Formats: sequence, C-alpha cells, structure tokens
Amino acid sequence: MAKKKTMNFEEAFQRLEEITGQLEDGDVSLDKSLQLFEEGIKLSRWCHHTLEDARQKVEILLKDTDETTKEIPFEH
Amino acid sequence: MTFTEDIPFFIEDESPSSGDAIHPLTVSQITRRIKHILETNLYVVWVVGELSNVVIPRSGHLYGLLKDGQAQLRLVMFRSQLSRVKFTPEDGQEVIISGRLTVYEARGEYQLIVDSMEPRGQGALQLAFEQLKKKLAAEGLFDPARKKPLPLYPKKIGIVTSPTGAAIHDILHILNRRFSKVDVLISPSKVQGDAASREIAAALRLLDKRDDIDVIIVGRGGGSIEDLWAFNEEIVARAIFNAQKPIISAVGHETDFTIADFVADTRAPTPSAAAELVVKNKDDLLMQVTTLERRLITTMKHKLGDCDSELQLILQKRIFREPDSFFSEQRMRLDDMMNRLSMIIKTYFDYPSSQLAIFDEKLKRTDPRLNIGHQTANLARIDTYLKKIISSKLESTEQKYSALLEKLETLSPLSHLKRGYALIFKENSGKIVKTMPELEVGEKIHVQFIDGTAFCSVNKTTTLQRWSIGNGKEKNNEL
Repeated sequence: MAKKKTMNFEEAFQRLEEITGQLEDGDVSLDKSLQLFEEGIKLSRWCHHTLEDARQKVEILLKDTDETTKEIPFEH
Repeated sequence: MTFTEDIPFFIEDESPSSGDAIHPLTVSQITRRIKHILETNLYVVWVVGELSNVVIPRSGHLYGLLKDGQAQLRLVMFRSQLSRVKFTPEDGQEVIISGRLTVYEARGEYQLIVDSMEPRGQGALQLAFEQLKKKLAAEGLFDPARKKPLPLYPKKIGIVTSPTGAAIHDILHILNRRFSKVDVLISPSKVQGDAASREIAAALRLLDKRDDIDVIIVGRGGGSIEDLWAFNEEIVARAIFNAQKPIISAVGHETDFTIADFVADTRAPTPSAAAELVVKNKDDLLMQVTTLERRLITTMKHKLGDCDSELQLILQKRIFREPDSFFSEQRMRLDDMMNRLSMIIKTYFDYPSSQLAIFDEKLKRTDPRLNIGHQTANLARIDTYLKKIISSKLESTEQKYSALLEKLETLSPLSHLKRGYALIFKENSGKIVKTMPELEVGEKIHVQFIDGTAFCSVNKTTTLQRWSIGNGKEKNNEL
C-alpha cells in the first residue's frame, strides 16, 4: 500500500472494497485474512478521517515575475 | 477633387462637328478613371451573396468569389480583418459582406476588399459554434470513451475562473454549506474578452500539471453568448481535452451550452452544481466506508469462529489423541516404504552393479581356490581309499603270515627234535645229511639234538633199501 500522504481517497476506498470482497470470498488463509483485515481497518479509519477532516484551505495561484507561481490564501 | 481636371472623363465625342483632333485615352488613363469612379462612388458597400472558391493560403488572406445566380464578384479579405470573423468562411455560405471596391489596375480587374463578414440568417457566433463543434466532434474530442470519471472524493479541487466573478463565490458557498472541507486552489483567469480564451487555457494547464489537484472546475457565471464566448474557443477546448485530470465545465446558466461543456469530462449546469457534484458523495461515502468496515469485522469474526471449530475438529483426530500409536504405525509404514523404495532403486537404478554381481558369481564359481578344495577333497578321498586298501591287504597278509607261521611251526625240525629226532650236518660243509650215501667213512659229522650237539665221526656204513626213497614210500612200506 502506498504511503498515506500520497494515497488518494479513491485508491483507499477501492482497496477497502477489494479487501472486503477478498475476505468475504473465504478462499483466503487465516494468516492472509488477518493481514487483509488489518489493512482494511487501517484504510477504513483513514477514509473516515479524510472525509471528516476539519481543515479547509482556499488558496489562489499567484504568478511571480519569473514565470513561477505561488499559492496565497484567498480572501472571500 | 482635382482629379477631373487632369484626366478627361469622357471621350470628346460630344462635339464631333468641331473637327478638332480626337484625344484617345491610354489604358492606364481609362483604368485609373474607372478606379476613381468605383472607389469614390462605391466606397463602402454592403453585398449579400454566396461564397465560392474560397481559399486561405499561407499568407492568411482570404481570396474567393461572391456570387448569385447571374453574377460574381471577386473578394479579398486580409488577415487582420479575417481574424475578427468568428466563424470559418466556407463555399456555399450565404454571407453579408461589407467592404470597398478597388480596381487592380495591372490586371484590369475590380474586387471587393472585405471588411467584415456575417453569415446570413444566423449569427456569426452561432455559426462559429456549430462549425467548431462539428470539427472537434469529427476529431473525437467529445468521445464519451475518452471522458474520465470524477474522483470519489477529492482532497483538493482546482478552479479556473475569475477570482472576482460570481462563479468562485457560488462554488465556495456550496462547499461551506456542505461542511465540505476539501481544499481549493484557484487558478485565476479572465473569463471574457479577447484574451480570455488564452488565459483560461493557460490557467488550466497550470493546475493540470500539479500533483495535489484531484479535479478541476472550469467556468464562470452567466452572461450573454458574447460574454461566454471564450468557452467556445478552440484553444480552451483543446486545453480541456489534453488535460490529464478530470475536468468539470461550469459555464453560465443551465441553458447555456458551450464547446467546453462538450469536451469536459463532466458538464455541470452551473458553478454551484459543479461544487455539489464534487462533494455530493461525502455522506454516502461515509456510510459506505462504515458499512465496509462492519463487513470486514463480521467476516473476520466468522472466519475466526470457523478456524476455531476447525481446530477443535483437528484436535479430535487420532494423531493428537494417541500420538504414540499413530507414530509407530507411521514408522512401520515408513519402513515398509523404505524397503519398497530400496527395492525399486535396486531394480531400476542398480543395473550395472547387478551385472557385476553376476560376473562376481561366475568368477566365484571358477575360483581356483574352489578347485583346490575340490581336488583336496578328492585327494583325501583317494587317500582314505588307498589306506583302506592297504590296511585290508595288510590284514590279509598278516593272516596269511600267521597261517604260514603256524604251518611253519608244524614243519619245523625243532618239533621233530623235541620228539627225539636229530639232525646231521657235515662238519666241513655244514650241509644236512639226509641219506646215508652222502656220508663217507671217517667223515666228521655234527649231530644236532634238541638240547645240544654231538661231534662224531663215521665209523661204518650200511645201506637200507627201504629207506632209499622218500617218506611216503617209507610209510607205504611200513604199511
């Protein structure tokens, strides 16, 4: 599994669905099941966390003179 | 104008009677006069007709004909004027053109220098829209298969719009109302006016190349078709099409359709709707995640329960209840199998050594030591046999000898001597004297008795007839 920072919600959610499906299929060893379960629970917690994250940033891109850009907070 | 003073307008045929010399005009003069008349009298004209033979060479100028059923007019439209025409002039289009007539003196031709061109019957923008739509559709820019799905739940939304417009206000309002906490990055751009389309495309590309943006909304609030026009420009359409990230178009009101809407992966009827599209799933998703987690836990519980009962079942098995007997049986089976295995190995894999065994056997049979043994045994047998023969022979000889000895005993003179007989030997020769004639008178003789010898000499001899022949005769004579 990718690092949490680079993982997007979609990937995490899809993996969670996949894991649940695999586990329910029953054709998995106990060892593998436990491994999948652990991963699944982690993903599920991460998804919850992402959906309910309290932060929101609104920024606007500002072009610098040298063709680069920077983000500054957007006042609205 | 002083023009007329230099060049006569008419051939001087009004007063032929004057008899003065005729002053013919040169071709240049007449042409210049025509040019003057046309360019002063028909300086600005509006003409309606059908476009034909339209070409736009590399120079960017347009050349063509404007015609109706009976006549045609040569057209030129220079690049700078042409660039302001929103639609693409094509053969067969009914257009209204404004321009001025000029004469091309070198070829004696006149033509219309076109200033503006409008399609007849519909607006230029409408036509331009239809044309671009058709062109891009043919290129596959609207292909549904090329459209990217929206992310389930973006972490960060990019927005291309004016930072002072209604659209950004509406979008942020919706996001706040939904308690959605997605991050927003605005890439500012003009959204109307000549430069707008290029700015929109550039702003879009800026967002598209970033790693932190999951989806991009491109849009503006409502306005006239002219206001929204930037979103009908090819450069914007191509920027949307070439973007790697999913693009939501959100231009004007629900009834406004732009080219951007056709190219975008998703069309939102308004900027507010775009915001709702992006975050609408949040509650659903929360529920889905919760459900998935519950399923995970339930399945795991069942799984563990299953494993436990399976374990119990296994523990019931004989190997766990009576491990010793199980193992001894297994050991026996193992031995048996090992035997079979070694036999198999011998049979199938030991061929050379079995050959060797045969040779060895043969060799053993011809072993000289073995022969020696045989011969030794033979010899022993023969030896025994010989010994047997010798001993039996010896035995019989001994018997014969003792028989002879007995016989000898009976024949021995000693026995006769015992019975009183004596033996007479000649003294000189030692010979036994058996008959009297062997003796001479005076001869010295020894008379041997059993117990001694008498030394005598013969005094006298007489012959007895009867005793002349052997004992038998004597016995017979005695009988």
